Amino acid sequence: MMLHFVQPSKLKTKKMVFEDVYASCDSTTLEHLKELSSKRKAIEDSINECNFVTEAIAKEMSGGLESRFEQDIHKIENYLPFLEILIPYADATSTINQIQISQWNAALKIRWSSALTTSSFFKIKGPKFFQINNLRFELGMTLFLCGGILRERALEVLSTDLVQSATIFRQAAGIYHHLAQEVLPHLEPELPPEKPPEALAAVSSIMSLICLAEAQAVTIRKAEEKGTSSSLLAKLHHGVTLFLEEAIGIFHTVVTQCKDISSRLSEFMYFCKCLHELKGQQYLAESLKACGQIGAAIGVLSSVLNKVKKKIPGEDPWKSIYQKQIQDASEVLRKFVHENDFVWHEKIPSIYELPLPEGTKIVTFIPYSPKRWERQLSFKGLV
Amino acid sequence: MFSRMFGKPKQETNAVATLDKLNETLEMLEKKEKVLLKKVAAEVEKAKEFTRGKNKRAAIQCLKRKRLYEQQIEQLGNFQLRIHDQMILLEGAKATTETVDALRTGAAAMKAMQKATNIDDVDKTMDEINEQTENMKQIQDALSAPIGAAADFDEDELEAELEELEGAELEEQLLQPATTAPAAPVQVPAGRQPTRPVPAKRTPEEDELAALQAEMAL
Repeated sequence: MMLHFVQPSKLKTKKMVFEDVYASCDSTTLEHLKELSSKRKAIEDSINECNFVTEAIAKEMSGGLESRFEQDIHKIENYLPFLEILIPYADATSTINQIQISQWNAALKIRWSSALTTSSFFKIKGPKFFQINNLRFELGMTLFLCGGILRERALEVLSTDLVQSATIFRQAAGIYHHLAQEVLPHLEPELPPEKPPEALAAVSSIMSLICLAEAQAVTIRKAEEKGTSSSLLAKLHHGVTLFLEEAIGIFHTVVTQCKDISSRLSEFMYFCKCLHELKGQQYLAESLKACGQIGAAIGVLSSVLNKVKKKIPGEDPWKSIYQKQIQDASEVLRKFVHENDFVWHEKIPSIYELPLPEGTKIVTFIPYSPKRWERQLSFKGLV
Repeated sequence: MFSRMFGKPKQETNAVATLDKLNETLEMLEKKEKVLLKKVAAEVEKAKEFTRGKNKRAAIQCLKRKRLYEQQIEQLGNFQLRIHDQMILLEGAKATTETVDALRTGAAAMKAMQKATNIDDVDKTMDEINEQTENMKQIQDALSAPIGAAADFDEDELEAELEELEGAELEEQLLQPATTAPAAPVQVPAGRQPTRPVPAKRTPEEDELAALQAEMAL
């Protein structure tokens, strides 16, 4: 039922050595910078797939975490508090300090690839790296990566623990929300014309909504296991479409700012929306039939099937999942039509007379609070 | 030689699928019958209303429609009966097929033993097989009996049974105690009327939603 869109977790980056660039005044600061570089290298090796550590050693290094995704999240969570300490220095007020910090950040060469541009899907010459000399770019891309990996982790535990899966999706939504509201707005004025979509606040808003849609989809799975009524299931599925419609709306504005953004993201949202709309209308139809309105039920199913058949995903696994849902709904429609022809002889209302779907959103994001070590740093050249 | 005598058995998958389809149609017929019964009841009610209103002609029209619906119901009943017959036949055919399979197994075993026996034993075996064949024919004849029985119910006996049912119902009604007159309404002083509104109950759907949210830690 759930389509898979793995790209947000596929960022790559280049090596950075903080202590070679930032001039330390004391050993504490130097040690901090070295540790920062070391923790970042752990992330670099992991996401660039240059890791030569065996699974057993990786598990031991991360304190017993089995999952590769969990290990990556652990590394990022270790890195972020150290990085957060440097962010206030990026907001230097004096001109002299700004010049100095700009020089340092330029020397750092903060470079990240994008997983959401059109070229990243064709992979002609390997990933293209964007260099933006701003620490918030480093923070933003790291958080974006963290959200992406959390999504993968949520999908990983989906089959075993629905509650944990939904919770992780909500955490990811919180991180993307934090990015969109607190981190990226400060970065956007300083972005060059050529920039990755991940650096835009609007894209993080889209990802936050996608995570909420996915969390609600997981909740629906639990509801279906519990035997929840058709009418409520219909509202929950339409709630998912509400999240996705909002995200699609934002995407249309992003395209004007960032022409390189891949249509794959748009297609993912569109097809997910269609699937949940189909499922929601199917539950609505079953609810109507139970109330003795089989004509309206047939109208609802016919209408939504005509709509979702207009466009089909081009390749598996999306295509087979999509066609399976259409096939299931078509079978239900066939049974309803057969029964109406045989027993009820109810008139099928026109498309304008059909009951409108009603959506209910029941999931919210879990707010993300950045952690920061309380440590006083001292740099040469800063007043 | 023996294969040609008995033929190949039907595939079980086809029989199962056919039985499912027959069951499905049976369900449809039962639903349709319920719908028609509701219509009959509605016409009876309308006839009563017209009778109270001294509109005899309209009441008769309602009764005519009632008769038409009842005819449809009777036809549906016959349809259901035929489907039941066919389902029983199919299940019986399966039993027959299994019997034939068993006989074929026995015949194969006898054929194998034939190599180690003389002509007298062969003659004896053929007699036994003929006897089994006769038994099978009798079984098939017995399985065919329900058709005749179902198609030839004794109407007089059915009517007599119906009269018995009606008599029993009438007797039961006569034993019911007479309905007492309703008690006179008691006036409640206006000053003692409860002023607090009854708290609104949550709908079942809202309860479901709350339970789901609690379970998912939302």
